[in-house]
Amino acid sequence: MWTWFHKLASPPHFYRLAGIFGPWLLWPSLILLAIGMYGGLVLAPPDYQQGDGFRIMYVHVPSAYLSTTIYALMAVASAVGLIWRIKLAHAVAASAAPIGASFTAVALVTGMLWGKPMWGTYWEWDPRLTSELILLFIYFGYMSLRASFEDISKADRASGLLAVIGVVNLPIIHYSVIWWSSLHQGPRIKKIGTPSIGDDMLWPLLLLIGASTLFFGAMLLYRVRAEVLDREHNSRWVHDMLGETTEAG
Amino acid sequence: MADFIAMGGYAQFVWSAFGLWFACVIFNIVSARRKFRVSLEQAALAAARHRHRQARKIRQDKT
Repeated sequence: MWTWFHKLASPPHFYRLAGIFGPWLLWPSLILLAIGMYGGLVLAPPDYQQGDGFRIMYVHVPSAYLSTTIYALMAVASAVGLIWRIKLAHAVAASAAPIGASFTAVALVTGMLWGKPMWGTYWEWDPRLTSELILLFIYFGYMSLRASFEDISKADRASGLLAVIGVVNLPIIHYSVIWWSSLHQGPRIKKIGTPSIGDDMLWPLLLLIGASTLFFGAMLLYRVRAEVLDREHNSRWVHDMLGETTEAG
Repeated sequence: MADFIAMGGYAQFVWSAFGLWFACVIFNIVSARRKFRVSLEQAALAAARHRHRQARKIRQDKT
């Protein structure tokens, strides 16, 4: 187990594996996203209360799910990087941040677009909305903190610490709709066994959540490869690899 | 078809939300690929500099 882990954490090995699995994740995820979109926009019946407006759920929920899941992954990777000094873990955290930030922004704006017709307002300083906005700022803070260091290992340590501290925001986002009275509705699919939405509405949502996760995986692999190259461009294996390709080509 | 586009009166909200989401997916693909290309170019430059230095070192050792 540990030898396997160490081999995976070695940059050349990871670089090669990510190059193989990246495209294999990307294309299936895009196909599944397309199927899920068709299911959500066409096949699912209109909601009895919200009509066709509820369809915003099919982009809002996967984005919101990704925004927190990516942050959790980023915080765990940062902690692993800080504790065991694994550079690849920092590379993973740094690569996850821009993807997470983009989906957090989409979750916020699609939420506003959903809020306007249903609640009558784009924005309300509601616990769920505010904590999600704070998440976006933490992502931005993380990325600008990284960018402010010339030295990559200093950037790793400082931004890693920020990512780990920022994790306190995740339970606040998750439980905000339960702890405080909120405009935002509670979780609808988590009640195991008895989800409060019908099957024909539920499957596109679950498919989209799964496909978005695969899509994130593909994007992460592309970005970690680039990050590994940035960190290792003075090392022997990169020179060997690029020497071969340039001489052959 | 017109009914589908009208989205029961919610067209502007539904289509902007889906459009934004689609733009985000495309943006992620384009930016990840661009980042990888830039990193690969820079690594190739570093490798070329390294080979250049080594070749010079070998020439100096011979003389």
